[in-house]
Amino acid sequence: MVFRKRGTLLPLERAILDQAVQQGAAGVYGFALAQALDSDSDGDGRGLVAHGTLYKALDRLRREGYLDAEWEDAATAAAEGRPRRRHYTVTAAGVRALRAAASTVTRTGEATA
Amino acid sequence: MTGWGASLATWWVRRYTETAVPAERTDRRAEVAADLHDHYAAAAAAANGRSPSRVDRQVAGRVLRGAPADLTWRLAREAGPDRVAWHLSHPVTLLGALVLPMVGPGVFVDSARDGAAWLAEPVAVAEAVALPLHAAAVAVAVVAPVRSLRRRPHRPSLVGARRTALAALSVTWGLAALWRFAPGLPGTASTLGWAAFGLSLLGWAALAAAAGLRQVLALRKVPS
Repeated sequence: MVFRKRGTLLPLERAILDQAVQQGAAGVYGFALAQALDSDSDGDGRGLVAHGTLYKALDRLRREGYLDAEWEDAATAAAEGRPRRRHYTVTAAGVRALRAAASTVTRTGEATA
Repeated sequence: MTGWGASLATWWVRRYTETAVPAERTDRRAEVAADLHDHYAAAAAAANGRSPSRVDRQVAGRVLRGAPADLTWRLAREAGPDRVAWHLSHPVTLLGALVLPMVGPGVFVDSARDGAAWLAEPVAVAEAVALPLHAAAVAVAVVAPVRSLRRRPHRPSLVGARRTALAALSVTWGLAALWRFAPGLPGTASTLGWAAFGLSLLGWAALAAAAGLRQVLALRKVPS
């Protein structure tokens, strides 16, 4: 088990927060995130983020207070004939953490340039 | 949600959340179910000639690549102090989980103890790791209320029996190894311990094979 300093963000966690910021109040949900973060450029699904990796990262971000999670209305999902999705929206703490991580990356880049 | 990939993902999420905190178990299973539905729906909607088996392979890949993260997530969730009381009243889960970290160092210590000189230090380290784990397995079996071991599980009897056999493996391995490593204890005690371990292993293997066979039959029934 790897222990990390509180507030440290992994690249995947930064990418998730970035997506959540872009989506704003609409939030993000599991498979849409996996598609958005697909590392495979031809988009045929081979680079989709693994279930365990994605939901572990989402769980950590939620526990850290960077994301709020809410299950969508059952009626909405039923009307579309699918299971309910869990929507994640970024919190103020999440935005601050993302900015801090971005500034750290920028400083590191400047130092190594 | 169709296909063997979805069946594999559903089976796996059920396994690693089987004894998790109920709210976490429900949430994780529901999230994966929604993800699987969306994955298959997106594949069906895409007009690129993607075959169903290809989507199944994608889903299986996502399951396999994510399995280490699933396990570390579960371990991290179980490390909280609020889970100690639960494990003491439901010892089968903890005892089952102790089998793997006990057997590896235990076998290494046993086989390399009188080996080359350079092995002495690794053996000492492995022994320092192994013996507390063995003692922990025995201690959990002693401390945990006997009634919880006898409690009828709220799950299919085959799965419950397999998990109980796994717990028996853990306890008998711990007992046998403690007797074997501790000088001065009678050899017959160790022999009895190993015999009990062997019987537990046979029982667990038979039950695991039966559970695996049932799973394969269930997968074959999934409409493609």
